[in-house]
Amino acid sequence: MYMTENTDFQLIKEFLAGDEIAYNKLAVKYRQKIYWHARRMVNNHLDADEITQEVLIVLYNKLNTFKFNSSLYTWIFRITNTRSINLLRKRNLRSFLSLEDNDAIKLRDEADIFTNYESKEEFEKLNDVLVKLPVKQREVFVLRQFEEMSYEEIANVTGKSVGGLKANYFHALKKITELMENED
Amino acid sequence: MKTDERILKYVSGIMSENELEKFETELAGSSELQNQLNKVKTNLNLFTNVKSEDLDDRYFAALVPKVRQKLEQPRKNKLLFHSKYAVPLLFSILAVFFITKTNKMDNQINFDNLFADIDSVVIDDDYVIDEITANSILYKDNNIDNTEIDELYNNEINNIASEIDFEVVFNNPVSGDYDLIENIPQEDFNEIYQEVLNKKFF
Repeated sequence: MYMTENTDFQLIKEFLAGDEIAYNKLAVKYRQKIYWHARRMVNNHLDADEITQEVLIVLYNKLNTFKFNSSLYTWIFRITNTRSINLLRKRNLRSFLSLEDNDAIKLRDEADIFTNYESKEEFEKLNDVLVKLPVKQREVFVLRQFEEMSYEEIANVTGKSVGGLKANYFHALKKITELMENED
Repeated sequence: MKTDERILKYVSGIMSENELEKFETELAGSSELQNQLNKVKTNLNLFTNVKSEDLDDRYFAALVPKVRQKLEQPRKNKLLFHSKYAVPLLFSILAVFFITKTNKMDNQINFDNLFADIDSVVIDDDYVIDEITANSILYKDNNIDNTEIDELYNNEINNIASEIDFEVVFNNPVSGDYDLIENIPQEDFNEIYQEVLNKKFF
């Protein structure tokens, strides 16, 4: 992690000094992490793609405000996580107000980056389990399970207490176990 | 079989030190607990990152150039709505609504008053017209009384004629530079005089 931070800080400094290639290196390094976190949170390719592009644009425009007292990794995940939750709220509101366009929903479900149908099906099966979790439980589960973050790191990303995160993770795990037991 | 909740607490890391010590001792001697723990871990292992070979790598390759393209596009002047403006906006809408509504009510009242005023004005005017007509010489008995008109006219002419200084009229200081009387031939002068007499100016 230290080496990563060191490299990131170096690239940020180079970018702020006017080196555009340094930004490209950062974007290439984090693009997949951003995409997959968003994808697991919002559960479709198009929205995840939109969030990924937005986060990379924020990265370009706001890197000058980055304080070097936290890792870029945490900073990027905080932006991605917030954007994902905002999009879910917007979608829930639209769904509640019946403003969701059926064609848009269909397109959202069809578009994807999987080349292998079985892999896609397997991914969707597990993601359907994740989607059944409340957002607070989903975010801690995704960050801990896929990004292998400690509770302290997740607290930095989400701004929540470690105790609350542990409780949310426990409830997420309980629900996932129950859902998977029911499938068996 | 339902998973022992202590396994979930153990995996979640929410056990106190005492609970943890007690559970780990029990776990070491229980194959049933070990099986359950292994099952939970196996299920969690399913939630791993997707293999990159199953993905269309063109998507990620095109991502940064796409973002670069967006960054280079000039910013559109779009109206941004922030949630912090929601409350002031709501109050503004309510204020405009109430002001409009109050004005509408005031206008209604003003119109009512106005119509009442107009009615009173109309009544007053009718009254005045009736009064004038009743006392009018011209409209007495709905006929013009020519005798009375002539009498009034002659009285006025006589009074006015006695007050007119004809020397001033014909030697008007304004037309001092043009001595009109001198320039008018005697014949024309007599004709004008006769005409004026005929018109009862004198």
